[in-house]
Amino acid sequence: MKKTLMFVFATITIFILIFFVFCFLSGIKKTNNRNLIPFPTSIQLSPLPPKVQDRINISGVEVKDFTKNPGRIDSQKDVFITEGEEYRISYLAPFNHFKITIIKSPFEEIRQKAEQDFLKRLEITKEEACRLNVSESTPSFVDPSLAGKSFPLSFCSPN
Amino acid sequence: MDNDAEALISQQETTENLRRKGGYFIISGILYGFPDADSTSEIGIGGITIEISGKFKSQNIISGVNGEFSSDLFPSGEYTFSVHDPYGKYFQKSFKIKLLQDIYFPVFVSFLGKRRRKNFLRLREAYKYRIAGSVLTRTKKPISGVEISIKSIHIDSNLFSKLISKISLFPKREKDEKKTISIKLISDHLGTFFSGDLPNGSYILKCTDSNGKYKFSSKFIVLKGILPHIVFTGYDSSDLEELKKKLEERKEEAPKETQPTQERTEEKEVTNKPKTEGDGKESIEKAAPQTGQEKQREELNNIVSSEITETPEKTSFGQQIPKMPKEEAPPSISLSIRTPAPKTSDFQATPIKISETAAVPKIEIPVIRNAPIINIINPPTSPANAFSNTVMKGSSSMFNSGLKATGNGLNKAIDTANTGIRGAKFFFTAARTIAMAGTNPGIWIAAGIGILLFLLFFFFDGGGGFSLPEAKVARGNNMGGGGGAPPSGGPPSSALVSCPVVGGTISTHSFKADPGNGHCSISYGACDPNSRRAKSIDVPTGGENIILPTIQGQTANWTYVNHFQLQVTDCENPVNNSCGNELVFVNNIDNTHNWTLFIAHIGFTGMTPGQTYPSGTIVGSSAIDHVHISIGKDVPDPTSMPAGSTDLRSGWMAADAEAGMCGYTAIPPGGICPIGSLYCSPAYLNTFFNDPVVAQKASIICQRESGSDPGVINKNCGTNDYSVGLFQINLVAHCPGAYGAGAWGPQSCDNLLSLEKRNACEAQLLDPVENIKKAVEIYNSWGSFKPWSTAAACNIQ
Repeated sequence: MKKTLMFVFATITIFILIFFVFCFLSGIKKTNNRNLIPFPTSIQLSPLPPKVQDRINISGVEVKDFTKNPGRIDSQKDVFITEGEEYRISYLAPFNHFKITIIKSPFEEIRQKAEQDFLKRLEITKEEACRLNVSESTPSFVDPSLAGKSFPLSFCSPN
Repeated sequence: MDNDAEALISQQETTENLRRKGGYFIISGILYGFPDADSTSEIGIGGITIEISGKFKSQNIISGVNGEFSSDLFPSGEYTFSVHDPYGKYFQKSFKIKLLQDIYFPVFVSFLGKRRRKNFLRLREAYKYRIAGSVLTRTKKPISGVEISIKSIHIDSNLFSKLISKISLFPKREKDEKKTISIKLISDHLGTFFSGDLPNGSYILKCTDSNGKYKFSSKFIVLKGILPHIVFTGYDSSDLEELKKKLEERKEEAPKETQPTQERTEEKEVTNKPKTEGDGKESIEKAAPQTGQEKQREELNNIVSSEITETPEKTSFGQQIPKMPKEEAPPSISLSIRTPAPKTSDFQATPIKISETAAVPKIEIPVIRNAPIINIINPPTSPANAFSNTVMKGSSSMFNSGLKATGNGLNKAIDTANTGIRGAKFFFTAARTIAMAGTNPGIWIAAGIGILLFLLFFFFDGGGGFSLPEAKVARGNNMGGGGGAPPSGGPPSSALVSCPVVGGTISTHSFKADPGNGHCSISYGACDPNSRRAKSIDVPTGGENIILPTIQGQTANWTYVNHFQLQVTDCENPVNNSCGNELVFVNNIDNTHNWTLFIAHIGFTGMTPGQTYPSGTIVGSSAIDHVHISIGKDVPDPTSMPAGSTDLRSGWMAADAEAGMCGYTAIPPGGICPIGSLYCSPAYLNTFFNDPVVAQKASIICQRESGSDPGVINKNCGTNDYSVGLFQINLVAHCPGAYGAGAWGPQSCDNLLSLEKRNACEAQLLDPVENIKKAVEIYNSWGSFKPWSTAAACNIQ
């Protein structure tokens, strides 16, 4: 009787152990770290890759380095590429986003000018421009009917 | 000036060293995540509450505008790091940290309830050989746009690096291992930098600011085989001035000969370091001989020590690190690598390859989701610390499985258990006992009983293996009192307030959402469209229980403050001659702010008046086929309950159109103007306007006023404008002393009194953060957005 009891307990114990060891091992397999060394996890926060001959990489597109000799840079590191009487082009660094602001009417006409200038200043093609985060807008003091809306580059497909 | 700066910085670093040696540390970092679901770039997330709690000290910190946070001084010990977003948008699982040195870590916060594929990619990337770090100001704010140069001084030619080179960005290294790798990185908007894949080897890092604004203490560092998260600290001119003053004050107060011995010793160590010369190919004298595992451990400590004083020298495995050119080889560096310091006073770092078999006794990975975290290694010199070596790594799978461990044997398992599974330690100890039991039947039986008891304990405690913590949290809500509540108030959504009927949809909308058929419409039975009733919704219950809702995805504590019995005429289809009861709940935020919830047609409730219940608690079941729901924000005298059609108190919101309840996609408050993006996004403005509803209104105004361009200026004097920035703050009215009386009245654009003052105001308000702060100030002083013409145009109250 004593032996039987012992056998039962031992069997149960072994099965339970196997179960938990299996659970445990299957858990660590996935994260088993070959290095026993602390290692920084990646922090790919839209880093700017190495500059290559006055060009920088933004959103996977090589653009002319507009951070050199910019019109103005604010405390958030936003770069104001051009601040004209008709339109403004800026790079909003915290959002990795280009903003074209039309500040003179008529909107469509000035928009075309601004977009051409945008391509020229960044020395990129239209296709490349469409891969960047770019939005266009106009403030209410310029055109209340269009104010608040956000437009893509006119030559980019909606998709 | 550069020499002065270097001396000042060096002095400051020494002071910091002394503070750290005193056992007081700082926990700092940056919270970052995606601003919205569609965004592809991450930003610092401000306004998030970080709770650091421990046995000796606790502190709540709110992350700054750029997501940065920094604690007070904390004594060494174990702390729990938790992140709470007051608006319930972001999430990060809390984790434990062993504070044995200053810690800096970027913490990724993800959207509550959502997972992005990118998180998994992030995990995989973590295992590659890369250099990452941050560039910060003294106050732990990120510095972007500075250049970090990485130059190899030796590339390993082992099999692993060959393999890496085949799959990495450096395929040519296989042919020419000795060719130098030189990379320049630019710190991004969060001050972070990241190298991409690199072959195994030794590297020099140097941080420089081409604009000359910041000086860096660290000229270079040689890292080999170990790539911790590096933190460069930048000092601007004001910092240096401050340091200079402090230094002078210190000198006045304490003559040099009375300076602490420790400090002087350190300085001596630093200045006595062998200066390197030559073209980088000369051999370097070997450091004092050390052998064996002890040496390896000490070297590991040195490498991860917080202040590394670098002297290129021969490595323990015989490789010679070439000397640096003279101009790149200052006598010392003090680069902050925010990892625990060794307890020894030796701060000399030896560039050394740490092999996979390096004697790091144990590594424990706390449960952290997606967070690129810091490296923490305790000095393995003390047996007490041997159990506390910790590496934190961001890992989605870690989160999913609740807990993972790396390492060897049962000791590792015991460490794992320490991270938070109640009772697990007991199990593993029992397991080890069994393993040692051998053939002794007594021990086998005892162990078996122990394990069975352990399992029974878990079974009755409601647990379930390795994912227990979450299960218990969910179960915890059931203790709420009103009778078995489900774990939460429905899935997280973009709604301000969740639906009290899980999965419920609206049968009768508010007047605002549906003026034709909604409450108080003519077809419904006309009543005042500004009344509470007009803003209410009806939601069929389908026999489901009614639960208390969440607010902005977060649990709210609702106090059951009032109730009354509805009359039989208060519904179209009474059951058993009853339309049920109307219950009033208030979530008091403070004395003046509250959320008020009315739920009508409740048939039975187990709730006790005056008691407070969390979101998710079951209110009861409906007496008829639906419930009638009203929600309000800052409703005055919220405990009173006038009839719905006559309740014209301010604060009631259209439950569907404004609060987004029960599947209705909320339209912006104001309705007819788009919500802003970028700087004008509600998420960004939430940090400044401490109310999501207000932030949403502000977003509309901001977007319309400036299109989210912080540099816009309207100089049209024809409208008495000189309006600047995101919120178009009019300097004619908001720049004291700049304008005087004129054609437009006491403050008129045609009478510029001080160009200097206006320019100063303009410069200040062109800054997006300052502009938003000013907008908040104006909003608070008015109590509304009335000063902006856009508010009227967009029907914003």
